[in-house]
Amino acid sequence: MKRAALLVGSLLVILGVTLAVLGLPVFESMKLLFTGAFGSSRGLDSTLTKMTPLLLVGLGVVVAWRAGVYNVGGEGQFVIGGLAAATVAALLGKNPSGVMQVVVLAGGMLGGAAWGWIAGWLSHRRRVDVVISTILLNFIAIFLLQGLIAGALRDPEVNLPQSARLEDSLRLMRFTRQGDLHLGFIVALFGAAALWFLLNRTTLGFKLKLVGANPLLVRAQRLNADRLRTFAISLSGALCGLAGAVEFAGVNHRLGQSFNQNWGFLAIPVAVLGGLNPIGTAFAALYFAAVLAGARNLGGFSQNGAAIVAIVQAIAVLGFMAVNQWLSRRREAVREVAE
Amino acid sequence: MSELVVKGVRKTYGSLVALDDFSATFRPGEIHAILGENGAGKSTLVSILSGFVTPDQGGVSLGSRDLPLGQPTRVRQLGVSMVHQHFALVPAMTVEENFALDRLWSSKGLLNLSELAGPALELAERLDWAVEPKARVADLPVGVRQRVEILKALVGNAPVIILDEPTAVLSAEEVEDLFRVLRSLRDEGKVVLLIAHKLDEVLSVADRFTVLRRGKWITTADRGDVTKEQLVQWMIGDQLNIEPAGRKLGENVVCALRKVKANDETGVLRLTVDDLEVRAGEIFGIGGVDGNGQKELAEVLVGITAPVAGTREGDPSVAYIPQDRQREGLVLDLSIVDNISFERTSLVGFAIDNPKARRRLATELIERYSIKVSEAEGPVKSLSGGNQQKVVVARELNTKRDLIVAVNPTRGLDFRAAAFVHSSLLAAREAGSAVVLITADLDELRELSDRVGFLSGGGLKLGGDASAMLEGH
Amino acid sequence: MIATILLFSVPLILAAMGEVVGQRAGMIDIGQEGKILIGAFVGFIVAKITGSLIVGYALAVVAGVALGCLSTWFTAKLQLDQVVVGTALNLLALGATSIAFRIYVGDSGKLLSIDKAPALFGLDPVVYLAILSPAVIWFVLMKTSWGLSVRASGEYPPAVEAAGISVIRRRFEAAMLAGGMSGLAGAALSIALSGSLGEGMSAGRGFLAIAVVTFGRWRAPWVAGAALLIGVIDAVQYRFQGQAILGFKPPLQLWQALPYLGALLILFALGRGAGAPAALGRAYNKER
Repeated sequence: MKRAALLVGSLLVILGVTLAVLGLPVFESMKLLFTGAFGSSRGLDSTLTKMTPLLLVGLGVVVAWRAGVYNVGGEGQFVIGGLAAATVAALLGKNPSGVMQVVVLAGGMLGGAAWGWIAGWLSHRRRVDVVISTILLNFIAIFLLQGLIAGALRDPEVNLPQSARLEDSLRLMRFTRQGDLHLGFIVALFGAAALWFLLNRTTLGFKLKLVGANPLLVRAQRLNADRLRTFAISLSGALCGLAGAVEFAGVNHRLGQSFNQNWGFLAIPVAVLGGLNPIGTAFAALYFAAVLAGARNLGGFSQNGAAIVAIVQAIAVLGFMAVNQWLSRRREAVREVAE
Repeated sequence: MSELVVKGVRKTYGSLVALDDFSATFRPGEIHAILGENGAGKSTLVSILSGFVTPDQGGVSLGSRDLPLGQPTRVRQLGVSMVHQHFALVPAMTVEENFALDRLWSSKGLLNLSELAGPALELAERLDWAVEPKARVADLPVGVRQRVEILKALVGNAPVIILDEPTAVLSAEEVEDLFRVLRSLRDEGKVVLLIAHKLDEVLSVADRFTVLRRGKWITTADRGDVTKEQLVQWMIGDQLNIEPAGRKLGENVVCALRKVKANDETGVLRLTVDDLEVRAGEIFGIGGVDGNGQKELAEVLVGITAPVAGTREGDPSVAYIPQDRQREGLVLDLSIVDNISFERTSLVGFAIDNPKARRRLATELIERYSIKVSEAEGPVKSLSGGNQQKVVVARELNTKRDLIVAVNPTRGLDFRAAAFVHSSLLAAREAGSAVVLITADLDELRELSDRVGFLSGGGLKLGGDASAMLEGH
Repeated sequence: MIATILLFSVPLILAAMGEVVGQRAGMIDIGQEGKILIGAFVGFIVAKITGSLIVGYALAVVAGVALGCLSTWFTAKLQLDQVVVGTALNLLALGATSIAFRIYVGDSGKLLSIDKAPALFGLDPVVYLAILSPAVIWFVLMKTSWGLSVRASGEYPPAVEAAGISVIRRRFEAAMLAGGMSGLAGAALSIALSGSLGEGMSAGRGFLAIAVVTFGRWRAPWVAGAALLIGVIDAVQYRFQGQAILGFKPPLQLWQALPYLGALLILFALGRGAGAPAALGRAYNKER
């Protein structure tokens, strides 16, 4: 509890320092940020809407990194998830049943899982570094998106490269008439709970943690480390793909050129700051989503919401890890003296 | 030339006395072998002499000069050079580059490989020790890598050179060649200290012997005054022949190795076993000094490493108590409950975990194995070594297995903890498991084993003659 | 055409040369991308303000060196995870440049441009720098005392410490050199290649540089060759965009994806194979 309070406090300090460096009046801006994020139903709506993809991709990062697989391909898996969902939706034709929403989301998960699996397979079979392959796959996915919305998936009635509008029946339910917040938020929360359950209450989750924490022990226990890692990155891809599908079916309803909003990269600090556990990641996602949504309130800086979040994230994650390292070193030193 | 004098050195680790009031004089112009079993205090002595460890009491002098113990770099500059068992060589680089790296402090700017590596190569020539300067270290056989390491140690013209188990990894011809060089170093008037355990080898090269047992100095004697039998007696005391109690063995062969050969991770052949049958209801004790194929034998039996030749028969369920408990037996960052309650079977497939049941099991095991914990949910790394080992033992022995493989299961444990591990292994035997106990501790071997054998140089010799572990290949 | 290829390859070659040094010392730097971005901005804006291209290039290098120092402080000194630190630095660079861009350019969206350096024998002078860099880096790594200890730091740090040299110090120095090269690469991108400033203009070149180092097998000349190959693909795709080939008109995006797809396919074909520094990506801890 003390640690959580410390963390929240230091996050506020970091935010304040960043604002000060940007030349903004610190307290006033913080107040504006807060009211922007939580002060109105519109603000809250926006915060939770932005939290949804951040959380889902963050969960994807959590599951892969816990298994020792450095998936930095959340961006690509997000995009492929959106593409797969849009493709499934297009295949369902006119006026599909609302139940088909599940199929659309499942398609997105499958697409993301496949994209993640490629990197897992490359690492397993060809020993290609996951960091490098997932980065390259990010770019390939983004160009694939742009190619497809200009080609096969293009809406012929619009002059811009965009996919066709999602059928009304396939759109995720929205909670209010004016707001964007949609059923996907619940899906994301459910995802966090499910991942928590997987990691903490199932043997499979335990094995994933084992392979990340001590591959030698995994070997001594005669488990197949490569298979576990490939599974981890596929599941990671599935979660990122789900994020893409949810964003598509819940918010955008069509794929445009700016469909990927750097969610994949932004989610890495979210997961790290969340201590690589699903519940912590949910809070970290809420925090950054709030800054993102609240930044709209900062007047002349309104355009820079994403930029401010990126900076705050960077400083927060570096500071957090540095302090953590310092604490654990001090603990070790104390123990050595005690022995 | 000056003598290396050790005066009343004592070193303890917690309650363990690693070295107790040890004094000795090592003369220039002699090859002096330091003998002892595992845990006799050899490595502690070597670490002190080379400056890596500061003793609690006593000191070391070279000539008229006291050595600044605890400062390895200074000690080396003052003329005590050390050749470790683990080489400080960069495998991906050439011999020449490795020589140069070691003397890089004397060079700035442009890299003049031939100048930096020159002295070492000249020395190699003088010793008639061919090393190809352009060869990559990784491509060289172990014996040649060791030459490179020894040459590095010799370049500064140090008057004292210490070699820690240098023959452990060498073939017979390589050993002969090494000894030839050691003799010529001796003839140049150096102090050559040789840490070793294979008696035939040592007898052929050393001029004097110092024997250590359980941290204590036993004797120092000249080559002419000792016989092999006498040295064996000094080293392992009066427990020379291990005669198992002669229980009636079970019929059921749980696991057998036939004409098995196995490599280590680097692809070097480390184990050759012609025939080994392990039966239900016995403890098969395998003695020997570490690094003679113990790890490979354990991993082949457990089924982690596939043999490169021969077969492993039988498909028993296995419990494994590995030698390196921290790296292979535990996940240090996870809790005691997690570490103690997962077992092999529950790791197969997907199952819903029951944390309450696991906690209950953990509490029960902690109680039963009297593991001293402040908090069962705390990380396992907060436990002492003995209690960490109890966690591993408790986990592995909690469910009945056909085969139990334990490697040095009581190393570093206090008396009570060790006794507990022993009784657990005996109980497992009574319950009908086959137990393979691989250990360097002869007392343990004697107390527990129904049948015994010894590993030396990767070969397994059956029977209770403990001097088998002091033989060469 | 050759001029185009060279120009396209310049930033990638420079960045990859920096990455070679860093990886040889044992550090895989995801933060390259951010360093290039910062270099592009600092170089461009300083050159624009001072009117001197040389000052612009110089300060871009200084910024890269500073960032290299910063990331090594986290990865080598504090021993934090290299991937996380690199990601964080990328975000920092992305955020900072994006805000700087708005402050400097405003929301008008007008294109900032700069006069390119006078051509030297028909090529931008920075091209010669890029052509020379593989030889220089090769020389520094293979033919100097410093280079030997840097390579050893990436292969087997204990041997370096045993020789009385500080691994952490070597890594700091290597990261500073690598950072400087990235800064230079960024400035070359904005000043020489585009002649203009855009948000996120590094467009993944830092990431490509990492891939290029892998399939150039960590050897400066080969890496330069690999970077040139990607540059060729890039120039070709730029040239052929929108044109029909054998009656088929590939979509623009397929062309744009080509360098990345090519890099991935080459990695697949080669595998990790031999040549990777053995201690790559691992923090060195004396006590262990």
